[in-house]
Amino acid sequence: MKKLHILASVLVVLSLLLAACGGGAETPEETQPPVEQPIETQPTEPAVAPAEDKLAEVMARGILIVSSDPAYPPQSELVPNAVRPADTKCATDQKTSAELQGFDIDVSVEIAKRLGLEACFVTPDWTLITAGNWADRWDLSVGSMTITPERMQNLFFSQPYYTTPAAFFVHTDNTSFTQPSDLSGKKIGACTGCTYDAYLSKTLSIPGEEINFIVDDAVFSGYETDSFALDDLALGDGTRLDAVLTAQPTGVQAIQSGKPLKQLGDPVYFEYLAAAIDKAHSKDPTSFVQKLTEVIQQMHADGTLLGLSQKYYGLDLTTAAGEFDVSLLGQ
Amino acid sequence: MAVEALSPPVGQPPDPDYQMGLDLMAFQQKQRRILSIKIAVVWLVLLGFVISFLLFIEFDFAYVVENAWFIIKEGAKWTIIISVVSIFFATILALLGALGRLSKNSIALGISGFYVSLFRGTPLLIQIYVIYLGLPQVGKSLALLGASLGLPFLSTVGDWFILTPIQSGVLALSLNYGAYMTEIFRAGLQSIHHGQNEAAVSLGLSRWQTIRRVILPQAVRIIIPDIGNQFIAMQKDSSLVSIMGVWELTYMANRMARKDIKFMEMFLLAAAAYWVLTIISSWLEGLLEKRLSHAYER
Amino acid sequence: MNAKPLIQVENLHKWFGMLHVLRGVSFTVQTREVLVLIGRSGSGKSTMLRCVNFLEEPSAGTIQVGDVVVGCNPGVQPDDKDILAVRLQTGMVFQEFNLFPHMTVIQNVIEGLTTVKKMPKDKAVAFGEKYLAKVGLLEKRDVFPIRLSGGQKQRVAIARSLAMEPKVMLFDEPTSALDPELIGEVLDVIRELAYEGMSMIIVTHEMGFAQDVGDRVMYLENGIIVEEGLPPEMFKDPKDPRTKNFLEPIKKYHTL
Ligand SMILES: Nc1ncnc2c1ncn2[C@@H]1O[C@H](COP(=O)(O)OP(=O)(O)O)[C@@H](O)[C@H]1O
Ligand SMILES: [Mg+2]
Repeated sequence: MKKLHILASVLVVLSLLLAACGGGAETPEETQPPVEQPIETQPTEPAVAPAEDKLAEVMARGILIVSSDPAYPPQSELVPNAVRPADTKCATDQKTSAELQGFDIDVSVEIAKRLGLEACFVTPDWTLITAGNWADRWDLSVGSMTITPERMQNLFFSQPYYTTPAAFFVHTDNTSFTQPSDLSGKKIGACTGCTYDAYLSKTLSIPGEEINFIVDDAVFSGYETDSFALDDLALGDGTRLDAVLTAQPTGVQAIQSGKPLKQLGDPVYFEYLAAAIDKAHSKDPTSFVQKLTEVIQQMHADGTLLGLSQKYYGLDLTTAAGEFDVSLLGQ
Repeated sequence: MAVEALSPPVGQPPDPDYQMGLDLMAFQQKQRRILSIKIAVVWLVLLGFVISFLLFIEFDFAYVVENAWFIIKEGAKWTIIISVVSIFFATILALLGALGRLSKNSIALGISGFYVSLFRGTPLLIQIYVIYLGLPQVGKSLALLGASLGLPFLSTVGDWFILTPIQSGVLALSLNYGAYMTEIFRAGLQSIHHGQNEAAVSLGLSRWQTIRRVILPQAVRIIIPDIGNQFIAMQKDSSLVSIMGVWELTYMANRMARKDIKFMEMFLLAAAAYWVLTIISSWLEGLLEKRLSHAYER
Repeated sequence: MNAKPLIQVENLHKWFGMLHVLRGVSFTVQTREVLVLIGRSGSGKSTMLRCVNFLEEPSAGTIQVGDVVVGCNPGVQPDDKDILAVRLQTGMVFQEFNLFPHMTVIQNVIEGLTTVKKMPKDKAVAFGEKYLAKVGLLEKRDVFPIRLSGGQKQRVAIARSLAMEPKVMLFDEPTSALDPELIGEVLDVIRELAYEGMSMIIVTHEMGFAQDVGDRVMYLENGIIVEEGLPPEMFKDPKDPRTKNFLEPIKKYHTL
């Protein structure tokens, strides 16, 4: 591993020199990055990369740089014609909390406040956030990111700050189902390839959670998106579907928009949404992750998060997240 | 032209048929005017089609009017900054690339050939990803190397590889367009008659002096329209930097659309803004072209 | 005549790929001498002239201009410094004028002075004006070449070369691209130079003019110098049958 590193670096230096000597027209930056290395080498080489503390760095800087893509209302969206506060410490290419709004933004601002910091935002594409290797461009993501085993390869997760509960919805005309386990063998719709699909086929695994597969032998109907499934269910009880498994807020929103649907029983499982921190930060993020978890636990304990959840979703999406045992993630 | 023709030529005996020339000029002028009126009518009709399309899709004009300034002020600003800076660097790269392609030096030939091949042969989007995500890792390796060799300055050098979204976007656009424009510059330089080169070197000008003083000034005039075209294309390609979170036109329109579920309104607003930008660019390019043609007007 | 010739070319060969265009040409030009080069189209006249100032790189042979001697052999590249030294002593005038279209007349004339000789601009302009006056075009000083007639263009091109004060002028068919009524003004300028004692090599088809200004005539065929001599004798009574063959039809239409 280490040899590879040195080899790659020597190549870069050589190409720089070559460019400089050859009257250097072209920038040499097209060198291929050694893709898989940093994550693995980071912990094994404390001697070469002096372990400085991420939390100390952030505290010294005075601002908390949060990534959030304002493409997902009501979690994060633009504020048209916002005015930047005159006394902001955010850099010119960062956004202030005045220029964005939403659940994630409020949570970020609250976290920063409790650390005695100002929250500043950058808005990279979602793929760039989940890919890891942020190169210290931002400190953490507060972007309603579901904890998954794949993402845990690149990212550390804090105590989740809310959840996406998965719940079954049935037509209002239906009287025969009283609880989710009644749906065994029924026609159930959900989005193809998402966690609801995996739940019904009993392959779903969520880090830190024991899942009860209480519905057996469902006849699965796959949909492009959840809303198409809900539309089909709304046609009539059993017309096309007997039930739909989807995110609780999505179902509730459909009901509020006038669809003849109702939720069946309690959520059957939760997806946990947490702040994420790059494993490849150049500074040691351990105490930073620890601190975030503490702050979020506080925000659960004093009801701050529940209040925000009620404000944005009209639902309690946070209690289960507060009860989650983050040590089960084993990170 | 017309003004010149209206006053009789000086210093010559009066032409008895002078009126015939005047009549012909007036007739041609009238025909030209009719043509431009007809063209304007066609434009209006086509614009009418576009507007009726907007009516069909229940386009929310009020919403667009309300939000246009916000989108354009923030979005167009970045689109313009990024494209102008990138076309500047792309032009420099293209010039160096073309000189490399036309040189007899193996290193220059090798580098320029490789450069054009690589950056023309791979998608711009992937170049952006590689520059934004990949370069910092190169920097990191450099820092590690520096630490193990006891050369701390390498870690500073390593930090230079962590580019901001705008720097990454400008670098990717410059490299990519520089590669395309290398070929434009090469063709432009080659299109200058070899006699120009021979006259210059006969006077004792060196190869570089010949290019700088004689070939390039003539080639630029030929290349300007192509640079203009590339600039227009670049304004639209600059929207790719939005993936790194730069709030340029496409980004602003997209995020605003998601906020208020006004996709058609915002996309068409952005399209219109790009259109206006390209019209302005073509106009500027025309002005520049005219200025450079001064020496070629009889 | 001086003992040491101004130009001495020895055993000059030029290949274009497998085309052997110059097959061992040797000749000299003395100071103040006007050498006229005649021959069929494609015989290698231009190539020979262009080898003298290294617009074409000779494949083999020795070229001496003034004090500079450059030996050429296959696989050996002549030194850039020597080439520059040769070019600074030779002025070249092309059939196609090759004025720089983006520069005014005066800018054309001073380009070599300012860029190569690093002469200060005002001094160069004064210099350039002197030579423009010499070719009778001072009043066209600030005009772009596109507004000049062919004859005027060629006179500017001559002024441009003269301004560099070369020791020898090379003319490659200077009037072949001109309308007939414009040829005279250019030939007059060259004739004037000859009277002033400028050393020259002139490739031309204007036989009357050649006889008029030439000190010596050389006939080139297939890359070989077939015959050389004094103009009146050679035009009237060429020795070699090949020269006769070439001159016969020309003489029919021109009174020499
Ligand atoms: N750059 C070149 N490449 C290949 N062949 C050439 C080149 N220049 C001249 N020739 C050939 O060399 C021969 C002599 O050309 P040139 O010296 O121009 O003849 P002239 O000036 O006597 O008409 C011709 O056959 C011509 O086609
Ligand atoms: Mg010729």
